[in-house]
Amino acid sequence: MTDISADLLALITTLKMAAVTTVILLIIGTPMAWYLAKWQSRFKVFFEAVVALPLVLPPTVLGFYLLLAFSPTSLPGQLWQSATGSQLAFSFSAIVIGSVLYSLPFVVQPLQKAFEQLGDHHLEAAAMLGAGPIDRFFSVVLPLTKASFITATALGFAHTVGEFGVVLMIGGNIPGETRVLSIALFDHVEAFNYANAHLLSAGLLIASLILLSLVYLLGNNFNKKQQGTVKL
Amino acid sequence: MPKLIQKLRQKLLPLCIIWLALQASHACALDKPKQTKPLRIAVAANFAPALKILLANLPNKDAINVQMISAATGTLYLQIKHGAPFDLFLSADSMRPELLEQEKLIIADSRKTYAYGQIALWSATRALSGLSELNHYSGKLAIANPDTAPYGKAAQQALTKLSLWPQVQNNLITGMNINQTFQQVRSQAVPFGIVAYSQLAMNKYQGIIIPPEYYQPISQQLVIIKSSQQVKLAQQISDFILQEDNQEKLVQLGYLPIKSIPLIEKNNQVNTQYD
Repeated sequence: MTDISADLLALITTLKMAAVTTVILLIIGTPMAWYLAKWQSRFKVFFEAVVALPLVLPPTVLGFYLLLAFSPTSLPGQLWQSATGSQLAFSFSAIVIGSVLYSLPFVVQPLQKAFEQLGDHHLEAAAMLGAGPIDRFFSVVLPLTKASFITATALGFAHTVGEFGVVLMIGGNIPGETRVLSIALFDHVEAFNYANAHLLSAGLLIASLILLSLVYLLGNNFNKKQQGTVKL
Repeated sequence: MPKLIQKLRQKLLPLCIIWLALQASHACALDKPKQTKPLRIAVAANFAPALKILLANLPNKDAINVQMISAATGTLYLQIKHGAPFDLFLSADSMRPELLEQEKLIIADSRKTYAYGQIALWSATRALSGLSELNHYSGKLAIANPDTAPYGKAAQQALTKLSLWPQVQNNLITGMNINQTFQQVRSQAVPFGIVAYSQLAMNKYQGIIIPPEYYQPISQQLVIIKSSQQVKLAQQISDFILQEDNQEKLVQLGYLPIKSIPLIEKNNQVNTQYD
């Protein structure tokens, strides 16, 4: 396989990993953020700290313990193997699970802040008008916190694309399965392919910059629109 | 509620399209390698470029789908221990292959030395005249971590042998592995460093080779992983790397071939007699 097609494969793997991770994070992160925002207990700080843990934990440390957990000789690894029939460590699923844990605070924290600032009166009004919980979420909460959802999605996606330490440990750098861009880049540097490394980092940098700018542009537009409707 | 469904559809549709596109492109990209089951070679980062050059001449390379996975020896060892789907492992040392053998994770008798590493003194800022340049040097010196990297251990042994260790000990910049040390010297962040000679040879840099009798041989060993389902193929590649003409090629790539080592050991003995 030529270097270019190998890099392309790594790019596709990266995008796939980041997309799957972001979707999963939005699905599990939203209720988590909601409960953390609404929950009033002194144990709340503990759970907030747990969510924030990946921010301070070195990725290689997280990766090392995940590797131990995903190993075919450990309980979680065995459970996975008996449930799905394939090994968890060094698979695409493994790097997605690792990324979900690693990028969790980047999705939960902005959402939690948004839910906290959202007053109860909108929801109460909607409930009075007969809207059920799911309807209330999609037609009241979601439109009001759209900007935060965009931020959470962008941060979760971007952080996963840039991930290195966790994937290096539990992924095993397997082409088409767990070799992502950051690792392909590292490989090029290690193999003295500086030209390829420069090309790849420049591409990654420009693509990330465009993606993030677009997302923030989108977020700003939503904010303006929202302010407009409030004024009317 | 219909409004909600419509809204959802609006939002989900682009996502679905992206998802399908990704799946399709992924399937296309994977189409080729899937024809044959890949043979996965886990190789220590410092040997990866050399292995790539050697494998380019593999007689039946079009029939075999070789995947090279390079990382630090320690990382690869850890991954193999936890079930990584590798067939062949080319380590940068002999310690990890020995450990894997003790842990019964390799095919019996597959552990073989495939090359000996050499170390060299190097500066990216100017040409060096000889090892004596270190005698009155009081600046920073880059070496790989002697506790974890075999090339770092060799550097420490050579510096001790040259009676320079006490003098440089407090001015060392230790890299995580020999590649990091190479980068530190190459970027001119550190004026002097002891790097792998293979790194200099492959990048066409000039350095001073430290004579092999100043340090214990850095034997790099390979093993075939027990869980491999393609032992025969792995064995074939192992034989290929050890075969005479490829061992000759290693010399140009900065390594010492396996047959050279009885010579070094003899020299070492001569040296100890002198001491």
